[in-house]
Amino acid sequence: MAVAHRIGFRGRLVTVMVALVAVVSLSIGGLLMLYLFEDEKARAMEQLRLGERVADEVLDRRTSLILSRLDVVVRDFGFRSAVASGDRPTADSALANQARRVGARFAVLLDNDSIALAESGTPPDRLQSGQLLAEARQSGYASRMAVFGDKGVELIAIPVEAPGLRAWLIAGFSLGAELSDVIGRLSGTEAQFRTGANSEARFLESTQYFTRIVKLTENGPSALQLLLQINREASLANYYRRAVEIILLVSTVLVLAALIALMIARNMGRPVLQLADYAKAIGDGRTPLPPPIRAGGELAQLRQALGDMLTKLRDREDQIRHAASHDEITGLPNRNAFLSQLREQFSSGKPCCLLGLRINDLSDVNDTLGLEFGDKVLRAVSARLADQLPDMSALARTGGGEFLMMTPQQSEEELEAQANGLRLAVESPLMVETTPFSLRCTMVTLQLPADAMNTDQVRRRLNLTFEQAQKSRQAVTHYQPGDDENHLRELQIISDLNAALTDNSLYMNYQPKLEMVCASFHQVEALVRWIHPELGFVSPEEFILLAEKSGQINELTRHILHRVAEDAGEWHAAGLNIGVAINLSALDLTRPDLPDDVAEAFSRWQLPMSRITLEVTESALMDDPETALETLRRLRQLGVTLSVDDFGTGYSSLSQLRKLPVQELKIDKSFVLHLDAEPQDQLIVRSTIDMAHGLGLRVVAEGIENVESWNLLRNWGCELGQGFFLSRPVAASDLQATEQLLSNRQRDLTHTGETLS
Amino acid sequence: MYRPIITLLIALTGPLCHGAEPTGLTLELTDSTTGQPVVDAVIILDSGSENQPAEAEIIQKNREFQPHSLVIARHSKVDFPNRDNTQHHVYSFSPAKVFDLELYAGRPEKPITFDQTGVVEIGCNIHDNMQGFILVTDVNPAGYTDDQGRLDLRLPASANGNAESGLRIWHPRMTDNTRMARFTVNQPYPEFLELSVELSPEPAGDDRLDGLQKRFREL
Repeated sequence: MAVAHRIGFRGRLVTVMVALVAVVSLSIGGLLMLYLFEDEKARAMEQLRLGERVADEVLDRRTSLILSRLDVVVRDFGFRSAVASGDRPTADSALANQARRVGARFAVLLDNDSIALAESGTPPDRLQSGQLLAEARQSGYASRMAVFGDKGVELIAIPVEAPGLRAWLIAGFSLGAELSDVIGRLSGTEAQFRTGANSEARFLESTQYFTRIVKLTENGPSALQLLLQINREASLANYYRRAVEIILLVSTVLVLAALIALMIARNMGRPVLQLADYAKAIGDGRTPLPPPIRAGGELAQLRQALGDMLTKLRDREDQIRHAASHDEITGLPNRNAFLSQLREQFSSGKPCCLLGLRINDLSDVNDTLGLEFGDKVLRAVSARLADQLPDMSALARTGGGEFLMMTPQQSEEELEAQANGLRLAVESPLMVETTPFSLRCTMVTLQLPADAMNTDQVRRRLNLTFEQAQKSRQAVTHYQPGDDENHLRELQIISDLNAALTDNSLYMNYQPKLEMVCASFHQVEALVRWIHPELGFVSPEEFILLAEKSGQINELTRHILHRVAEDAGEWHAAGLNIGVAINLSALDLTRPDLPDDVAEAFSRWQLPMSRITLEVTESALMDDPETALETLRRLRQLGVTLSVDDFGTGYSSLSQLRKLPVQELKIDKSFVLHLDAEPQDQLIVRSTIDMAHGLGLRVVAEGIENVESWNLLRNWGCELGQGFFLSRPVAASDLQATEQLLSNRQRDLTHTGETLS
Repeated sequence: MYRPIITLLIALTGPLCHGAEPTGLTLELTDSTTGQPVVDAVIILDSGSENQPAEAEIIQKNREFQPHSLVIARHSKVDFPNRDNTQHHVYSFSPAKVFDLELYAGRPEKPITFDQTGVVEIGCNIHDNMQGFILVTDVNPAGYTDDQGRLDLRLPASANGNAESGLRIWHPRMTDNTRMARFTVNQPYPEFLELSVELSPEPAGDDRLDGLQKRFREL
């Protein structure tokens, strides 16, 4: 509920309480009013019922009284005599007299045949006495309510029975206001007789009256009813007064409830808000004081709980912080802690020294003697280091068997001395679980900030130095400035080489090889070139080595094969009948699928397959002779020419060479560059050519820089020549021109002065 | 209540009816409201013998007229001696004889002479429940009905071609006991003549008004 969120705790509490009180009070009030109303009605009805009983009783008693009177009248001897005299006026006057005595409005005396014997008053013409008399004969008397001329009348018939006199006296008595007043007074209602109205209802309720209708005759044109009414004005006024009182009471209660709710909300709300602020402060990581809460009960418990939470939170934070910054095995600060300390050191600008120690073969210790034992070794090492180090220096375990130490600045010699001291301490025999145990370790040192400007450099250069140390197998190795830059350059080359392979920023140059006998342009050596967008020209030696390291060499080789095949296809199409030689890396030979790659790349090769030469370095053949030999055999099956590159620099045994399926030797250019001036080189080259010829191999000489070398080699029977003297490497597009140039020089090259061997 | 009717029968001196033999039949009288036989009803045949005036008395004793009913011939004299220790005011408003014996004790000055036929109802102005009847008739009653409401009658055969004969019946509890009920019997006469009159129920013996008022209080 958005509203609930807006009005807050206090508002909600007040709203709820007031609403509750309002609902309860209004319900009670409403019920009370309803009951009052119902009660009033019930009482009115009860009173009207009572009124009806009273009316019945009054009417009955009146009838009874009149009967008694009439009974006396009809037994009056004078009256009887007057009637029996047979003299009508006498009879009439006697009847009138008696009627006055009993208060009758009219009276008539009938004989047995309903002939009037006497009359008094003005009896109505339509008395319809037959039924009345029949009833009177049946029960000795009869009484009936009737209406004559809009007036209610009670007719009473009583027999006049004197010896010898048989007659009926019928007297009419008014039912008027006098009587209804009596009924009203007795019953506490307003009573009146009503004629001429028919109504089936016994009870009517209007806004002003409760009415009860007592039927005195049957419904008909001249019906007579007694209306009993209770005026509602008084009770309604009473009711409205009550209503006003109840509304006042409810309003008062509501105001009170609101005030109480406000007070409660204040007393409850403020502490709650304070506690909320307290909890928020705790959440923000501050350590606030608990708010003063006077109230007891749940709020106090909550405050207590929050306080406890704060304490436990801090404890746990401490634990986490400790765990985050310490090594759990040795209890020393861990890498993160050391690095943050290093950062502080850098930001303070103070120079310091960094010593790194790696335990050699810790993994072997763990593997052979168990992790438990390894951990004990680590703890022992850390204890020894801590003993050896001055107080001011930091010590941390930053990896498996790696410890780093930071000491105040000292000279290079002092640093080395300290490093050696530490190394000796660590390497001195160690008792672990009563087992004497010796360790070997590697130490490196850095001077900060001279050797590294920030933590990233520190990490990189430490690792580099450790690598160097493992290679050099020195006890203590200092970081050599520049190492890291080379390393970074290598990393960049490695990472960018992949992109270069895909976006074709590698390209090929081709250096011609000439048949030395006739100086004809026979073949080119494909040389890969890379102009790096940032580093500029990167030598193939460098990036091919790195590609071998990073496992990209296969990709590179495949790429080169395809490039060369494409270029060659183009120059063959242009009519140049030139073969191609391609350098393979040592790692290429370990790949069984290399022959497939070659076959695939040169699937559209138009010249004989022997015009494709694959050049393999000696060392490559020597690394894994078995696999290399297998690969070479399969390549040979393709029909390509195989050549041993850089011959004379490796450690190839001639017996190996004898087994290899190669057809060509390529004498390393280091022997050829100064051939004209170096007699030793001449000896080596010459004897190599002889040996190769003896083994049935052709010889290629590369690095021919001048005409003298060219001539010497030509005279010694070297089959192919390559070098700047002949041609620099050129782009594929320039081969046509180069071929032209070389054919122009053909005569010069073949008519050189013959030198005697 | 059974009140014997005392009749004074005067020996018939006149000759019997000449002509045809009279026919015998049995009258059976029932109360038309209850179907019960009417006992002690006076039956007077038109053809009955003439009776002679006589002197009779109705005494008041224990606030009762004794006899309760009296059948007499016209011109008979009736005396009303008072044998009670209270005075009585005996009177009648019956058209056959209106008389008024003001309060007296012992014997009135003179007897009352009844010179018109009819039913004379007598009462006491002081004691409302005292009631008596005097039947003044020219003919001797044929008799009174027995316990079964029966009376054997002898009706005269018609001599002058008259095919019917009349008879009158009276009982003190007839609803209109101020007159005799008149019937005619057509010839040929049946063996059984079944007639009925309407009787009012026997009074409870209490004062009538007490009954009324009691009934009111029960409302």
